[in-house]
Amino acid sequence: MDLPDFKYHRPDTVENACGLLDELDYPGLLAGGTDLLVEMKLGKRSHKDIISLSGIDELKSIELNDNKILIGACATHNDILNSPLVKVNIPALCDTARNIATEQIRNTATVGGNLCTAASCCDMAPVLMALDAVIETGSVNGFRSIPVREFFTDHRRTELKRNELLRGIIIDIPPDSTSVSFKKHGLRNAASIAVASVACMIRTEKGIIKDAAVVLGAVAPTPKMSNKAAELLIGKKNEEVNEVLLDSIGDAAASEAAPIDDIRGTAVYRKELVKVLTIRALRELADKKGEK
Amino acid sequence: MKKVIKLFVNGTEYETAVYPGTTLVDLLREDLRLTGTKKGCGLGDCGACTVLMNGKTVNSCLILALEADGKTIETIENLATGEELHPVQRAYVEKGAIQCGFCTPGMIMRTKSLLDGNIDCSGSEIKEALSGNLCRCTGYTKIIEAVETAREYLKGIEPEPLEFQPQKSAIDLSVVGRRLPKKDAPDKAAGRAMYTDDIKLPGMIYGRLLLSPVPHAKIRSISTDKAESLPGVKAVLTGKDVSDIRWGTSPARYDETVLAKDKVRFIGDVVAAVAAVDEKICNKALELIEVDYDELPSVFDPEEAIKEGAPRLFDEKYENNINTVVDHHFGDIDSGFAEADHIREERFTGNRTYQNPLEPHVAIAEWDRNGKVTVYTSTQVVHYVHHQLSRILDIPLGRIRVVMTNCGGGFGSKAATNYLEILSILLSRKTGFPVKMRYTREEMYLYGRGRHKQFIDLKIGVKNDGTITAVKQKAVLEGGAYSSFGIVSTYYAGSMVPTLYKFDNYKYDGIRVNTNLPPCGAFRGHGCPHPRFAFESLLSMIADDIGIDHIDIRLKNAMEPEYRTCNDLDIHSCEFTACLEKVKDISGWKDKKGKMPQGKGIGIGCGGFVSGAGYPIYRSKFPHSNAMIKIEEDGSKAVLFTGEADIGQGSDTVLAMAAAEAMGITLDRIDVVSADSDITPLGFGAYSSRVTLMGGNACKMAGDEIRRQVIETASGILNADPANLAAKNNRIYVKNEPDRSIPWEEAASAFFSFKGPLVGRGHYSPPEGLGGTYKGAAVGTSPAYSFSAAVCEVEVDTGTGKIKVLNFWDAHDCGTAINPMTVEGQAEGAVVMGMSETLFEDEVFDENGRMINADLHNYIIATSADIPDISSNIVDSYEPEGPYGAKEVGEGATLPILGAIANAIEDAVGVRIQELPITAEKVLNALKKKG
Repeated sequence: MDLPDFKYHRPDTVENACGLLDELDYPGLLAGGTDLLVEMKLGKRSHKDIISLSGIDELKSIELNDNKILIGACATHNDILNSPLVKVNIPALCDTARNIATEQIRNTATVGGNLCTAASCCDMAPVLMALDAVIETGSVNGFRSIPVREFFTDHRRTELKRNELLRGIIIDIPPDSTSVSFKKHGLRNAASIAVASVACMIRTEKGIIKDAAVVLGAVAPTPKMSNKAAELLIGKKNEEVNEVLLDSIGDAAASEAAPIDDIRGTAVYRKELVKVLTIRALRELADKKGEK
Repeated sequence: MKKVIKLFVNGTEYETAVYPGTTLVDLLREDLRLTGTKKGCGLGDCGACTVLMNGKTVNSCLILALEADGKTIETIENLATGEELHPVQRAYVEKGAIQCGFCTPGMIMRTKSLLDGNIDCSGSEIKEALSGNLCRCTGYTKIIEAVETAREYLKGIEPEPLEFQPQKSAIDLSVVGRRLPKKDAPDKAAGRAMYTDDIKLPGMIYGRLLLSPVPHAKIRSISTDKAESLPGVKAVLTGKDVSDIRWGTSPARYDETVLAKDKVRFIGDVVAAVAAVDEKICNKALELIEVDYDELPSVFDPEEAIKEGAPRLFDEKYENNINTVVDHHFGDIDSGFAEADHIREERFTGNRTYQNPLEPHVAIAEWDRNGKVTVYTSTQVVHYVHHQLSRILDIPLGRIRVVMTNCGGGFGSKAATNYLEILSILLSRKTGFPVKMRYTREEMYLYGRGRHKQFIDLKIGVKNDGTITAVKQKAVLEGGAYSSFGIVSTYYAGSMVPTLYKFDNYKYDGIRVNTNLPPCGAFRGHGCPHPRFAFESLLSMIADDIGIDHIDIRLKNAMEPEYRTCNDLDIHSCEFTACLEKVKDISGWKDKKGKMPQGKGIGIGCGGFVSGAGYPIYRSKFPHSNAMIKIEEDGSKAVLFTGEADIGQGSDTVLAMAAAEAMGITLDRIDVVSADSDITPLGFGAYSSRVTLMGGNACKMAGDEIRRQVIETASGILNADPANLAAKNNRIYVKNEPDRSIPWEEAASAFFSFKGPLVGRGHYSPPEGLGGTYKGAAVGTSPAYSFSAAVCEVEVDTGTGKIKVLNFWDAHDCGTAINPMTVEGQAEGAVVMGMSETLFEDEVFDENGRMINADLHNYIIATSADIPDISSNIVDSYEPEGPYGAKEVGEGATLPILGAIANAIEDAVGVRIQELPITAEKVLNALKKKG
């Protein structure tokens, strides 16, 4: 339960962090630490060097730029939750942040850390994937962009290269025609890990769904796009989205889930949840449309 | 390499050097000695270590001290101003929101930050906001009330005092029966209460245990050379270094050794112990101990374990791994079932649950140079620890001092001697230094002693009018590797069944089976919650079968006062019917049962428990509870000495109230010294819900003796017949002439001047000859029994199966509630713990017997966001054997909860779940099956 000995580095610029990341042998990147320190205490990870990102102010910012929201990797979940910029422009992201973990964790854990841990039950990923957010990385070789939809490669594996760090996330502010919702099933009402989660996005023009995404969490090695479910939505008129269609979309999403049995639920149950949550998320979007 | 950091803690600037791996909580607690901040899990799951960093709540166990460089930290120690508590602290004290107090500092810090940011937060916002701070005692209900009250205080509003109607039995009393804040609450609110881990003795070193990584093996050899030569290591102990004595909890089943002798029986069995200058070095030394295991086949399922040819845990005993067998038959089961118009038999399965007190076990041992050892420990049972240590060390009680510090919750997990107590003593003796040992959260689960998982086949026969004619129960208890309390658990699982409803014909067959898993023991409601879950479920199923209302069938069979059960247990006071009527009334049962919209439902469950076991755990003639009271020479204060253990339930306060009432003084004039074997007289401690009745009687008796002596003295001063004098509210007066009076302290002081020390003594033993004469008749005996009924309302999401418990209305016959506020605290805590066990909790093991959820991240317990609205009620009752008519509530209140929830779910969606925990997945599967 003790943290093993390590060397602590606290660079003050992204460039310096990238330099350290490149030159050190398998260093650990410390953002909020709520995953890293737990895993180190449990002996699941060990690092001779820890690079703390807490001294790099630019990584903590949340900015509006050119109709895009830029969220620094080290913005905490509460930074997102309490950001007027996010609240006004992407309320679904606030709603998602609100239901993650506990106040203490939300004050510490960062969105970048959440994504880099790459747990399939990661709560932030489905919504970011639904919004087609893009990850900006940095390394001594320069910067690059990776769509969040392509970021996760396997259970706890990402596209990040060994010497690369996640700098931030860029989200195009969705037009009014786009709406997003997120549904999660946890075992208790707070501080719960998703047994299954679903984020849905639809973009409607002139009463016709032009674009859609259905993203599944905790039911595959990574958060996963359900293309079949999305395809069933695209091209439909709003009024065609009825219970019969929703049912088949739910089935399509469930068919693309590849869950496992674990302590929180069986694979069979998770597939059930995917269907129910998908239908509920889409119903909520339909209701939102109705309100407008 | 250490690095220098500068931080501002509670307004003071500290410049200090820390290792990179030092966390903020360790910096605060160990280096700055700000021990108000608690450490409950170390992994960010419990919130006990919550502090404010730059004004924001964080788990200080997940913050590197280096990351706090330059930051402002506020801890619990910063809130009070001088003697004046912060409004949040004051509200927690006054509202009864503090029990064991271990979650309190973190909870209060979270509350402060919440109210700093949003003074107008709603009830649901409070529930959500506090959900990162786990509490196992209070059920969060009084905490939420305290937050609401604090909100008012901060706005400068003094809330209206609560209207409170005392019970009939307390109307003429002046201390007993009042809602009074606990005496320990202010210090706990201020972060000043001392828990074992807060103690740091000069020269103290640390000890750690090496636990078996394999479920079942012979130990071929152990090599400790490398560990011993590691710098900083002071001692290494293995099985060959310690006595061969077998120890445990029940003398009939002493089967544990101090350290593994030749064999390990589960992952977590204790193999070796190390002492070193710090825990880090201990851990390194543990890695250097080489153990050569010869692995044996293992068995984890009790049904497999009893089969011929199954791996045996003990070669010399427990044939077929059957550790305990109970075979009870009362009345005539065959004729009982023959009389029945309707018979139904069902199988129910329990879950393996763990008490999870917020405070991990800790012990510190120190030998003095005269050959006496003092051990500070977080225990429920000072005397049994004292007794067992004396056996193991083979030295008399007088050379051992056991001091209980504040205890951060027990629920049975600390109701026996543990390895830390024994091995800290042995390591301290070997090294000559005081040794501190503490469990991690994971080690707590592996030490175990949680609830046995029971497999129950229950058969009940009834007449058409609902009268129960016969009950047959078969229970298989999965016991883990050692006996612990298990023999008693096996008896309790059967013997308490006939105490709630009247029936004459009863058969109980119980076996306890050893498996290669952590040992099970006594957990709140000891042995009874699963059988009660089965019984309350089946009784409701039968009521439906024969078309009787669920409460009516209970009223039909309800226990009555002065009744001898078929298994020879004597019930005296019993207001079970009043409990049933009360919950029926306040829940709106008549308008709700079977009449709620699909997805919503209501259910009833009942329970009750002993008010202390009729016989001690080991054979002894000592009175079970004892008390001494010493009065200050000026008469201004009484000091009560009791061996009973306040583990948060509030017994120090309750016992002081009983003593104060007897003496005729107010509660502010009495201090309590408890649970220190050198100072306080023997008390068997906090288990079997015994303290209020037994400790209360002893303290009342001591108080009565004081009162007699001061009245005797006062009679000379007032020139009145002592028979005509009374003592109340710090005055001694002539009955019928209340103006003729003197201050209590004047009489007490005069006594001291004439006769020397004014002391009182009290003791209590249960009535002799309790129970029948059959084998095992002692288990279930008690001077008195409690009764409870609870109605639960749930909402079930038929899409996901998720269950939301909306309401609980419960009523308790606890005799006279000595302190109604602490009674409510027990009842609310029982509702939420029972709900958490029913819906969430289960220990899960992999195919090698390794527990895979030995933390608070994956073994989930209820948070404040999960709780229902709770209406706890106390019915009028008087128990002649109890002090001022009091009996127990703490465990009995747990028992109705499981069945009530199961019954409510059935009412809501028409599915009956007979296997705990009742997860959303099980409900959904049942709904699908039903179609």
